[in-house]
Amino acid sequence: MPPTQKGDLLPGTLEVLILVTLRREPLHGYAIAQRIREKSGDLLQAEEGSLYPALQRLLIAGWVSAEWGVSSRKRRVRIYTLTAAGRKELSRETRRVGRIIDGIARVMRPSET
Amino acid sequence: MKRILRYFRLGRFESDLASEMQAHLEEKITDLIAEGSEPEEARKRALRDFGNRTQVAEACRRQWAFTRFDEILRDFRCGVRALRRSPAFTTVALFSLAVGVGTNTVVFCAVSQILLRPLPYPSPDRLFAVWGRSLSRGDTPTHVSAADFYDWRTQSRAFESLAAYAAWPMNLTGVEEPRRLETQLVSAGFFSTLGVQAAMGRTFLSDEDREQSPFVVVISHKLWRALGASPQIVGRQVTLNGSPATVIGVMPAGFAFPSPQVDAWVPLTLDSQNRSNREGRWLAVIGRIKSNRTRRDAAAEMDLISRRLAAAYPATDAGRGVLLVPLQEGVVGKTRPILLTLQAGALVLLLIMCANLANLLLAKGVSRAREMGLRAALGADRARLIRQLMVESSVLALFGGGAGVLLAIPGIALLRSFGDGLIPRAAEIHLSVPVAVFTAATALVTALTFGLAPAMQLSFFNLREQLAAGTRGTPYHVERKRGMLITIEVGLASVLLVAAGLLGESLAHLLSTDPGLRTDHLLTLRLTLPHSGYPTNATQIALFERILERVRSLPGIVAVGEISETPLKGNNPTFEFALEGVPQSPSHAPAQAGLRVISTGCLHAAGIPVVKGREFTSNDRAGSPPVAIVNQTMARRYWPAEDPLGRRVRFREDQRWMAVVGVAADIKHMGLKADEGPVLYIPYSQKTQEWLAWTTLMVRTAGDPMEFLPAIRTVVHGIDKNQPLAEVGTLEGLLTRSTAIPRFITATAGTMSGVALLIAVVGIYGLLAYTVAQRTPEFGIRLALGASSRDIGWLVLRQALMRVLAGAAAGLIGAWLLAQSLQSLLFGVNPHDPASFAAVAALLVLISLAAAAIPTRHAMRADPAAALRAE
Repeated sequence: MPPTQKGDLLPGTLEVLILVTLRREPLHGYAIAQRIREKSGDLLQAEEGSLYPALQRLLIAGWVSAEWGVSSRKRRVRIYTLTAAGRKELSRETRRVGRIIDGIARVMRPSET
Repeated sequence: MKRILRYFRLGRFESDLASEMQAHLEEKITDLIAEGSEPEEARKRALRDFGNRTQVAEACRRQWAFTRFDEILRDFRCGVRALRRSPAFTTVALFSLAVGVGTNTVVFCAVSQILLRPLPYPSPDRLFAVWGRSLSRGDTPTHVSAADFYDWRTQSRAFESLAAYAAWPMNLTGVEEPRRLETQLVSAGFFSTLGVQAAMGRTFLSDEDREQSPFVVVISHKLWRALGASPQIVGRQVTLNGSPATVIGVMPAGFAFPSPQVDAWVPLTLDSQNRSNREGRWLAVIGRIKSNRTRRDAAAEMDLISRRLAAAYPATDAGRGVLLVPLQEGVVGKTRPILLTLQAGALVLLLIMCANLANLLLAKGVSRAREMGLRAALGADRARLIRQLMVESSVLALFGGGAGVLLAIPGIALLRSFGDGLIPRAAEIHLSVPVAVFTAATALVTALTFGLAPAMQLSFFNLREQLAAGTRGTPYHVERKRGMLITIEVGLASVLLVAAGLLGESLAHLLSTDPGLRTDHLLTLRLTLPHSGYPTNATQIALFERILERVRSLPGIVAVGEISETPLKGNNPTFEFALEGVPQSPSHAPAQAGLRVISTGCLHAAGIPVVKGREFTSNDRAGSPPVAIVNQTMARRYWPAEDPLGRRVRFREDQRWMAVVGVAADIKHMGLKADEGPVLYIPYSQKTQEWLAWTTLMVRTAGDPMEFLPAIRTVVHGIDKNQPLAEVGTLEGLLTRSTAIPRFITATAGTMSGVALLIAVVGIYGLLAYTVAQRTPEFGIRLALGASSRDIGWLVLRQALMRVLAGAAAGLIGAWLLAQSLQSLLFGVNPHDPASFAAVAALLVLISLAAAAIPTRHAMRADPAAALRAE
């Protein structure tokens, strides 16, 4: 996965967050931003707009697909759905992130010897 | 592909993105208002949280635009820029690519379209030329007698059909200017054997070659156009040799058998006497083998028939056999070795071009490797770097190959106009796309293979090492590779040089050959009398003499003569004759000599010296004792120890003895390459052959021969207004034409080898200049340590010499092995001529020393102090 250019996040984190968000149900762009903000608290400091280049990357990689639909407020929006490939990638990423966090946690743990 | 489609959908994507972002903002504003914000406040906050929309859109677009297609476009532009940055490299590379691809395209088009493409007839592989041959003379094809042909046709089972043809020029009159037609007498099955139909009307019916059949003619597309291209031509009457003939058909435009010159075909109608003649061998025969029979079947059957005929007619057919030649080969004939030689030369040139290109790319690769290393260190993707190099090489190959194909277009036009009349099927040569693509692809493969070298080195070399080496330090193996390529270039160039040298020597030999007669200021034109107007020897002789006298009295005419066969043209009808006092033994092949019927003053007019005795005079009349003149070869062969003057000879079928009154010098009647063999001259005034109703008028003029043509035409038409003047030209022109092909081959080989040599020299210079630049500090140190500048010079020179000598040695050995295949193109030169080989070796050493001179001087002037400072 190509790295994201900006933000305080680890590279690729935004994409993983989008994939996670879409795991349950297809959503449009604004809804994805809302969910990520709700779930991660203030972790996603970046501007909402940065969501869109990340979505394009996921589209190119074939991990999500997009279709025009209608929002709950009857607005014409693009709705993103996780594809089978995206699901596979998500589980790979989950394991990878898990390992990184484990590693970081181990390093960060104060020395006990 | 999908990516490319996506790329083109970019326009739609942009409007989609805009409305998507708009929806995002509106949703957010709605939420914020629902949470209690003022609408204006909500809008501002939504915009602020979203960030710079233009930047977002740009970032999104970049995600899409960074697909491969776009990158290839960018690489392409990059490649073009890179090539423009190093003009010397680009010029040399493009030049060698263009020349290599261009020559190969031209030559391979010619080879494939002349040699390889089947004749344009159905099942051409079943078509054969069926020649006679004398078993004692091996595989020299001879014509076939009419009686033998008809016997073959009746007895053969392996052939579907056999047909005979013979050139028989006829005069077309009743049109503005009477013209001589290149007419072929053909047996009725001629067109059906070839399997061709008329474009208009029909061809001959199976009984249209009977003696009583009405006189019909099939005309060529060319003649049809010349006659006004009337769509109603079929059924029209024309006058051929004074007799009315009905045009029954017009052949399609491409049909040109047996030669592109042919104007018309008329049935071969023979009376019973001619039909049963076995002595006059004058027919060419073609046959179509049955689909269930092989060439071997046909050959075995023809052998059997020949033996049967030999037993039945031992006087004429003993010792005679048959020779089957695929018609394709027959049509292409002598062009084959010429084209194959050119093709071999072009291929060698292409190899040199490839080696040169490889050399250039390797040299460039050394500097590129460092750049690549740096970029890789800075985080560039390896695949991406490789792709860039590939694209750059492809750009080079594309432009070079494209230029080569463009170069091939005028090249083919040149070959076609040159080959008109000299090379069979020359008109069929055209630029073939597969051939062009194939040769251009060779360039591409070379460019890719060697252009990738710097990227490949990335995997072999430690990056840090690469960078740490700084601006010097060439990987040793690259230099060795370049050295090897130079050796290969020199080797290939020396093969071409030897070939060019041999061909040049042969041409010089040819051009210095004395034709045996004076070719300057000699106008020749051919007169063929129609049998209807001039049925007897007396009428023919009278006309020839009248023309001779009238032309002789024209102002500015130095001398005039008439001869039955134009010198240098190659026509040499031979006859069997008997010598007085020499008994004919059946075991001996009968004596043969070429026959020339000449007028009084002919030898003088042509400048053929009479070495003994006298020329014919006006006293040698029809009623006076028959006389003959022989050439020196004939005199030597048949009267080696005696004086030929006064000896008598006669034609085998004629009881009349002719006394030899003179001996003429041999001339190169067959063209400069061949001797004419024994020749018997007899005077027109005493000729007994009624069929021999033609002559070549030879007029020696005071000024430009062609200026006298109108006056001569007026004279001839004043005597017979229906008499066409054919084959008008000068003997000098004929001589030039006879050497056209050797001159063309030599010029081509010379150019090819010159280019090859130039490239080799540039290669040597480039390599040495580069190594010297690299090793200057080393040389400086050596000098500082007490080496003399001569030692340094020798160091550099030795490098060049070793490579050149290795290449030259390999090349000369190769040339020695290949030289034999040039044999058929050489005249008077031994293909292993030591002088040519030695000259090439000397030339190569001299040229390479010259190429090495400048870099060597640079090396010798290396400044020790500067070198040490630089370290």
